[in-house]
Amino acid sequence: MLKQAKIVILAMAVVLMATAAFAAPKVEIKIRAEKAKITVAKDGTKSTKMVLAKNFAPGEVIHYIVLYRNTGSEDATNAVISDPIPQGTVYIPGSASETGEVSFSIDGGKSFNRPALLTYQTRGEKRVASPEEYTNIRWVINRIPAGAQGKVSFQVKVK
Amino acid sequence: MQHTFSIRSTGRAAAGVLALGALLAVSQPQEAAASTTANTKLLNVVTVSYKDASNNNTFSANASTQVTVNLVKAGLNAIAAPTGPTGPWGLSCLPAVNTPSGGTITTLYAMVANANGSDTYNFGLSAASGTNTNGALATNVTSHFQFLKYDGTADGAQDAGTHTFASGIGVGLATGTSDTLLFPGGSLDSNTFAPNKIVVVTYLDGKKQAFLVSGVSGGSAATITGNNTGGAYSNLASTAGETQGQLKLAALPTTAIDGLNVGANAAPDFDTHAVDFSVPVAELALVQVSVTASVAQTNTDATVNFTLAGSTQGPTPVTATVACTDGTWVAPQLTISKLVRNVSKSGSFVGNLGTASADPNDTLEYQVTVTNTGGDANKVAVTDAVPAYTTLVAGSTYGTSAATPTGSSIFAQVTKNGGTAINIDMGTSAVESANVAAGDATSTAAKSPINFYLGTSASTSAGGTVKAGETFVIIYQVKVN
Repeated sequence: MLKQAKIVILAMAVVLMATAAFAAPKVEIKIRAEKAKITVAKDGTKSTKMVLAKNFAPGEVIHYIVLYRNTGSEDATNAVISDPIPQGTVYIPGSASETGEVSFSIDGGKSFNRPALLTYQTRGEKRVASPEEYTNIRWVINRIPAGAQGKVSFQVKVK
Repeated sequence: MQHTFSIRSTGRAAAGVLALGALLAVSQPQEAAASTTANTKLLNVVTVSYKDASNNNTFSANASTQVTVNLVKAGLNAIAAPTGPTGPWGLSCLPAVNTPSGGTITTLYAMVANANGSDTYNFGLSAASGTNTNGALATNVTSHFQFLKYDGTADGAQDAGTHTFASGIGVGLATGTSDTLLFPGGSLDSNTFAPNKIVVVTYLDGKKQAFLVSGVSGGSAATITGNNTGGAYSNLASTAGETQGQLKLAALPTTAIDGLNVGANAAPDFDTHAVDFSVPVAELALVQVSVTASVAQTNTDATVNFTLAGSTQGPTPVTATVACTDGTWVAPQLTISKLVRNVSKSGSFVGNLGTASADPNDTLEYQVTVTNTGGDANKVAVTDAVPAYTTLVAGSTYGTSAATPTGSSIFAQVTKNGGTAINIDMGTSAVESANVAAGDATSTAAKSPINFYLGTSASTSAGGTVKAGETFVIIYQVKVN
């Protein structure tokens, strides 16, 4: 019995190695939360620098930056980066980077659309959703070539 | 802040609207009030899904980052103790009251937290005499403040320099309950939201109501393993679910504290009366200020001004103050009148400036009235003397007819506020009544001194306290020689 089991494990290892040999895309992402830090130089000139931050006060703006890269050996296609707007924050209109095709959801990510087409019915009237009502944001990037990298970003304000 | 967009139906209009929205976002002032509770963990999990070149195989990866919401310090809202069940209650001083010199005036205030999380405040009370139109000052001013629990018992030490106010911003109502509010996991400070604290809930219609904390659990924020630094790429971040904090509230029982009415016995009905989750559910702390003072001058009242201040800690404190005049210490103001009548001739009483005619052996009755129209007066003594050419009558039948001496040693009667007459004996007497009077007359002979010591705790040698509004009437009779 013991001998048979070993054979099975070996066989599986062979299969895995064979798979790895095929060309495949491998997209990795990471996300950073940054805030604008204004520094005043000795000569009085102010400069704004984005810094990684862990703590935000209500009313402050969180700059979310999503970095992606394709470390695979093949292009990735139809890449969809989706991100829920965190609870307790409000999306800042116009802050989403115009990378690929940006769209928003007001129903928790079930459906996405351009802002002007995000409508809902209220008392028989069709209303366009306001940015406070956005629940999710999504970028669709048609192709991430092998070895390529990029980023998308958006901003929210802490309520 | 509500953005309203009009739309013109084309894709280009949409871009224009977005640009307009961005301008609006820049130009609007930062809102002062926080709507997210301190220590909330804002978790952002981003996902990428993609396909390979064949468009057949789907892959995905995710990453996350978590940031913490800061405490925004805010000044306390100091209010007069609520007298009605619904707020908002405005900042105000309580009506000033009068008290006798040496007395204590207590006033009850409520302070409501305003920050987006629990915070500790510094407290201080100062009190100083006000100056009235006569330039009179209060003396011996002492002042204290004491935090009180809902039942009127002390909460912490007297004049406590700090008090931690519970506060937090809820995110919803626990399913199936009408009394339990939910908070972001880990944000609720279960130490400050202790059972039996009074907290104020604001409804969507702006009304406020006070409740008692009956149970609290802090919950826990989502925990993340894997990529949470924003630094290196890694393939997977996993998150364990958040447990929301819970704050269970109950009706505030009928309180033992005078003048406090914050909707006693109204049970939470948050399922029908919707709560405003953009403002804090905040502690209402009761603070009792007590000021004691005396009046330095007779017949001149004095006031005391005090300031109770609660300040946030840190480099730029925000201070809320109640600066009020804590009532008036009324100076004692005694009036005295002396009337006489000839009881042998059934004459009526005449005042100081009138005259009563009398023949030898007629009996005259004197009536001395002492009234306090001001504040409490201490050590009130009336010194009189047997009139010249007369003899004090001991054992009179006072008030009605000529004296028929009985041989007893009673030489006068004192009544307080029209009550039972107290007999005053000859000699250096004992206290006739500890709460009314003592008196002595050493001789019945003309010009002999007659002394009366009036008021509560009168002794055989000194007067007691004649309280505001009290009237003492002394009657004695003499026979014309």
